Amino acid sequence: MSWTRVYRLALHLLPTGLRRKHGPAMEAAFARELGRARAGGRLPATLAAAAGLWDVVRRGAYEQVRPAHGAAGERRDRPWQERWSIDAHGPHAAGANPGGPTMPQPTPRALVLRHAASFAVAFAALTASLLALFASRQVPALSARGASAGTVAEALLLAVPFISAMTIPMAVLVAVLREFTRLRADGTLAAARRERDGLRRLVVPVLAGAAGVGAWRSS
Amino acid sequence: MKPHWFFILLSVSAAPRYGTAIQDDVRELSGGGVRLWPATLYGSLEELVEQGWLEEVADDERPAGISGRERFYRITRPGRLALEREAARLESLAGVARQRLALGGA
Repeated sequence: MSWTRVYRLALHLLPTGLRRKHGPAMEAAFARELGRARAGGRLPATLAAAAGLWDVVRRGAYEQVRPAHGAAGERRDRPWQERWSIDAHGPHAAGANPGGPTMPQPTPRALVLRHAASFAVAFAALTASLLALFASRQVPALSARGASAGTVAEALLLAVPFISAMTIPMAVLVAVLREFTRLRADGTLAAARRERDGLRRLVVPVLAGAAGVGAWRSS
Repeated sequence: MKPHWFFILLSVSAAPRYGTAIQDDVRELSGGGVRLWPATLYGSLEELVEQGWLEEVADDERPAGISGRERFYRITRPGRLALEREAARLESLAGVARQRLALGGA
C-alpha cells in the first residue's frame, strides 16, 4: 500500500466537513511533500510520510475537542447530537420534546459508531506516541549497528502489533470515558436514567462493542 | 495567537494566496522553522475563516491569470487588526528582550 493511500485512509480521522472540502488538496499537498522528501532518499521520505500521518492524527484529535463556530464549523458529531440531544434545559428541548422529557431511541449503531471514532483517534494517538518512544530508543542503536533504512522501517513495523496489544485496551477506556462524558454533558445520560431501560440501551451496545474488541485482541 | 496562525495571516496579508502557496511562503518566512503539514494548514485555514480573520476569495475575484481549483484566501479587516496587535506584542517583547540583554552585559 502506498503512502498516499495510507494518508487518504488516515484523513477519515478528520471531521467529514473538513475532509470533503479540503481532502483532495491535503492529499495533493502530502504527495508534494513526499515527492520533495523522496529526492533525499528513502529514510527522509519515510520520515516525511510519518510526519504527515502524525499531523492528521493530531489534527483529528484536536478537531474532536475544539468548539465549532458558525456554519463553516460543521462537525462530524453535530447531526448525531441534534438527533439525540434530550436535555430538557438544552437548546433543542422545546422543539425536540414538546410533550416532556421522553427519551429518543439512540440506535446501537449510532452509539457504536461514536465510540469507534473516538477509539480510532485514541488508538492512533497512543500507538503513534508509543511507537515514537520506541523509535527514539531503538533507531539510534540500530543505526549504530549499520542497519539500513529498510531494516529500521521493518523493525518499527514489527513493533506495531506489540505496541497495539497495550494501546487497544487503553484506547477502549479513553473512548468510553470520552463518549460517556459527552453523553452526560448533552443531557442524554440524565434523561436515560429517567427512562425505563434507558441506561441499559446506552450501555449494552457499548459493552458488546468493547467485548468484541477484547475478543478480537485475545484472538 | 497560535504561531502558525500568525504566519498564515502574515502570508496572506499582502495578497490572496492558496493552500500550498501559503505553505511555501510560511516555510520561507520562518527560515524553514515552521513547516505546515496539510491537515494543520487546511484545518487552520478553516478555523481562521470561522474566526472571521480570513475569507475565501470568490471565483470571479481570483487573481488574474489563475485558473484551476485552488481555494484562495485573503485577510479580512478583523484579521489585519489581529495581525497588527500580534506584531505589536512581538515587537514590544523583542524590545524587552533587547533591554534585558543590554542590562546583562557580557
